[in-house]
Amino acid sequence: MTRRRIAIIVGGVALVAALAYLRDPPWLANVTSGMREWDYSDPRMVYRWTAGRASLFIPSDAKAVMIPLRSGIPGPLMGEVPVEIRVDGRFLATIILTDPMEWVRKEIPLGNRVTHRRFRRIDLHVPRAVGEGNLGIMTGPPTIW
Amino acid sequence: MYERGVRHFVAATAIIAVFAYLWIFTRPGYAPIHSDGFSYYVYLPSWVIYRDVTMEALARDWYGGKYPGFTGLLRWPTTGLWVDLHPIGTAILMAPFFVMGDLLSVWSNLPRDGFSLYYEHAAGAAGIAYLLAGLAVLRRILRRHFSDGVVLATLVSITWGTNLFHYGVFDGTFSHAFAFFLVCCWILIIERWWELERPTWPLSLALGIVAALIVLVRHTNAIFLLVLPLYGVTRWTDLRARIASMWERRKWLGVATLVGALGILPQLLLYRMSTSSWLVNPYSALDIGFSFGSPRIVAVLFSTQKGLFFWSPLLLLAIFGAIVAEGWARRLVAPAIAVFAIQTYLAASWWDWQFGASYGHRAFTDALPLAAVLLAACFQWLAGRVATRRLVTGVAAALVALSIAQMVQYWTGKIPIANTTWQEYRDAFLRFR
Repeated sequence: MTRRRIAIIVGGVALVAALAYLRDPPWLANVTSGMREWDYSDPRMVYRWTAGRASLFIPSDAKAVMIPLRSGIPGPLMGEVPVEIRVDGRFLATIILTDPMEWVRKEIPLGNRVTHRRFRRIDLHVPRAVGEGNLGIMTGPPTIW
Repeated sequence: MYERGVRHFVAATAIIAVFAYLWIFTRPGYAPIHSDGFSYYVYLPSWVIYRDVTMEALARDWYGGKYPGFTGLLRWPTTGLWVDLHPIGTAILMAPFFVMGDLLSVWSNLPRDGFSLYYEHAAGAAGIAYLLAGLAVLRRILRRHFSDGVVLATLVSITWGTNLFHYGVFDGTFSHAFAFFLVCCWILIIERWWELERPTWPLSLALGIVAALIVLVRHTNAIFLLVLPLYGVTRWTDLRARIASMWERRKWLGVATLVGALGILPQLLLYRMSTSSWLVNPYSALDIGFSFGSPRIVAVLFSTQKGLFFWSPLLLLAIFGAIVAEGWARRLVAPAIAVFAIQTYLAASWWDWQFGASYGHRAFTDALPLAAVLLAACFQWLAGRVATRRLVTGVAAALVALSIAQMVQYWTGKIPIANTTWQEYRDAFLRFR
């Protein structure tokens, strides 16, 4: 067997192993998208700003999730900010944030759809981006049931 | 020893680049797609994920309908459609990496939004890959004409004695690593094209494709097309013979021109669709542009703000190389001087002659393959002069070390991103804390 052929076989095996690992990696729990760093400036509530789109991961055996939401800055239409929530791309709910200063805490059932992954992906979609920081809404740490 | 160094140079650079990349982008608040990188990249999610060439869908989905100011996208005054300040070439070259990031995102259940984990790192990896590919092509060019010692010294100097490494790793989503790769390919193809008594069709095809990509990555980089007619011209009297030889090759040149024209057609169509004009300067909508009557040439070359030779003094050796170049390297002296002169005048006339936030002056990064050949010519000249060689080697090594130190200072915010004064430079000199 030539060195070239060995290299191709080793490369192929490594690729398959990497793909198998990346199908359901354990570190996804710590991955977010479209989220800024946690802000600890308010002693009553730890929060982080989202962009127009944001995603986080929760354990797949969770039955329901509650993510504290606050618009922080009034929206363009009557000050309301609608937040669309999806799980693994499937629509779950739309929560309307009416008071920019009020934290909205709503428990959302996740349904019984079976997944073989460790984590479910929660997507938040806000149709806006405010200021230089490109801000969507404020979110607190999620509670999971 | 030098032969092994040259052979393993790209692999060694790859390892260093990956470590540097991990160090930079595992820090909070740092992401590969940033600043100008956004506008070079944004075509891909817009076209592939949102299936929208107008970029309207992405603006609606991410920003409530209006791209923020930093993105470099603006609504064209007469049509109300989005126009990107930056052309599509970088996105085209990034596309294979984007597709991998997209497929992996679906595979791992990450959001398919164009900006989540894999998309960011796919775009960052593209910058590194094109830097390395460019270095591999440059090595191939240099090895045909210079000794291994000269090639190794040149590769080290051009990679770390300038801002090239920075634009492959830290600002890898900007256009410069991509343009560097293309200009390396351009020189390689031109050399073959002129060497052959009858150029082949595939070579002429490649000439057209690379020329189109060079223009698509950065429109002002069309000045690199001058290398083709000027290659090998060493005296004024050569110009007439060159025109004659180009006429003799008009058949192959015609094919290359046709392919090049077809290559830039998508960009022209995009301009036409967004602005109702085929040829557009997107910056004109912002009322910014060139001031050809008052170029800041001294500032562009020597100032503390962004002076090319202030931040990359090693490139002065390339100037010397242009004087002492012999043999094959002389064929590239005239094209290099022409490109350098025009590039300097363009950069110095641009409204923001510092080119915004950047390490060193990035207007010249794309031309580093030409500088590399002249640098090699300088090192070759020194090779036969032992005492001078030792002195220059010591100075060059010190300048490479200084460039690396300053690059790390830039990454860590010790050096201002623009408008650096002499006082600020002195205060920050070799300070890392």
